[in-house]
Amino acid sequence: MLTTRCARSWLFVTATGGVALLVVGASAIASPRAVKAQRANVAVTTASLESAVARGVAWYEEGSSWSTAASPARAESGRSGWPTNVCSVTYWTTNRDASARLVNEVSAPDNRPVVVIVMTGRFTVPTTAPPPAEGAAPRSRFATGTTEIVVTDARTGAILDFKLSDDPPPNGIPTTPQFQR
Amino acid sequence: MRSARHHSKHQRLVVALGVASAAAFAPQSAFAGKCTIDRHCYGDVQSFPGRIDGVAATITPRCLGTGGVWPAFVTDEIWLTDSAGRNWVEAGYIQNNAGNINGLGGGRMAFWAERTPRHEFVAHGVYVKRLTPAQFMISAAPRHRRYTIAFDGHNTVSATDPMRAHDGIYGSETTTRSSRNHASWRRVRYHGSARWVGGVVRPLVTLEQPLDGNRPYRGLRAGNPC
Repeated sequence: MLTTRCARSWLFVTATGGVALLVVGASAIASPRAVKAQRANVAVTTASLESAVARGVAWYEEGSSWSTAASPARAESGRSGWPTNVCSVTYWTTNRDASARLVNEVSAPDNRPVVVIVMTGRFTVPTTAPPPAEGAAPRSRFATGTTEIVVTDARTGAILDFKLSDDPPPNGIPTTPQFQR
Repeated sequence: MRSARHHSKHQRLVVALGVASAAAFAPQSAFAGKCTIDRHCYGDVQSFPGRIDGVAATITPRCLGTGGVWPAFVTDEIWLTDSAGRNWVEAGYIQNNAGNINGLGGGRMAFWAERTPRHEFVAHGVYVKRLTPAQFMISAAPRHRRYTIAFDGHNTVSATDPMRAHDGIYGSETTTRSSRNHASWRRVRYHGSARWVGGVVRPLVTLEQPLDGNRPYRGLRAGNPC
């Protein structure tokens, strides 16, 4: 089992422009299925938020279970409920247009209520890709990165937008991590 | 200048077309058994106009499905890529029964995705109940290093993407020989030298999936009859 080495602190710039240094403690660990919504600026119930996050976890674990060659590790859930390659999880509710810049869009195609989930750690996701250039080795069919952003429909849980990169967590996250190891 | 993409073959059956003919291609047996979630198969046409900053086509998917194979996906789409094929913007339809392909959920959807030179991968899905013909278009926004993606009434603009486009690709990608997919691409176009031009330039064809079309490839079909 691969355990990701997690940073002990992250520097976040808050939505109001202030800077907060978050020092992580073991007490921050909580089950993703039991977490409470810390902030809701759209009409989304706590139950639907938890459902969306739980669905996100199931989605992640499903992918990890069959991503073979390039997968860094099978997702092994510890007592926290989060796979061991996940260092932190932050989520909040907003509208899709407001989340667009987090997933490389200038503007979103609609403005429905969404749940944004930002995870740090070590991630591998299978992707579509164009055919490899001639003479080149077959391209890896997986994208890897250390920060993963998932935007889900707040009402249905359907995943609308996704980004995986080696960038630090984006500026402007309006809440502190709900889970951090 | 033509890139290394043009000079040799690696697990791909590539045919440079020299003559115009109807029904230029027949289904290829090479498709059978080689396509997996780790090794994708293609039926596509690549276009190398020299100057290109956009691609477009009207895609009509039929019976887009993976035949019950899990995990698997099949797409009908267009790509705009850089010279090495390491970075790209893509848009089209996907049937995904594997859960988190591209980080998106399972099901049938229109999607667009990009891999940028900054080592970012992003994807966006629009879930659809019915497969309908739709025009997909990817085009660079002049001077802003952004890409505009349009399909089926949806329009979006990417964040800054420094990719320098080199070629366009039209076709289908799949992970399973059991796919059920027989899509057509009409009004195949590319954008170069400040105008849209119909057809494909210096076509390079991958036949891991059945594919047929006619020069200059204003239209083509890919996939298994269903």
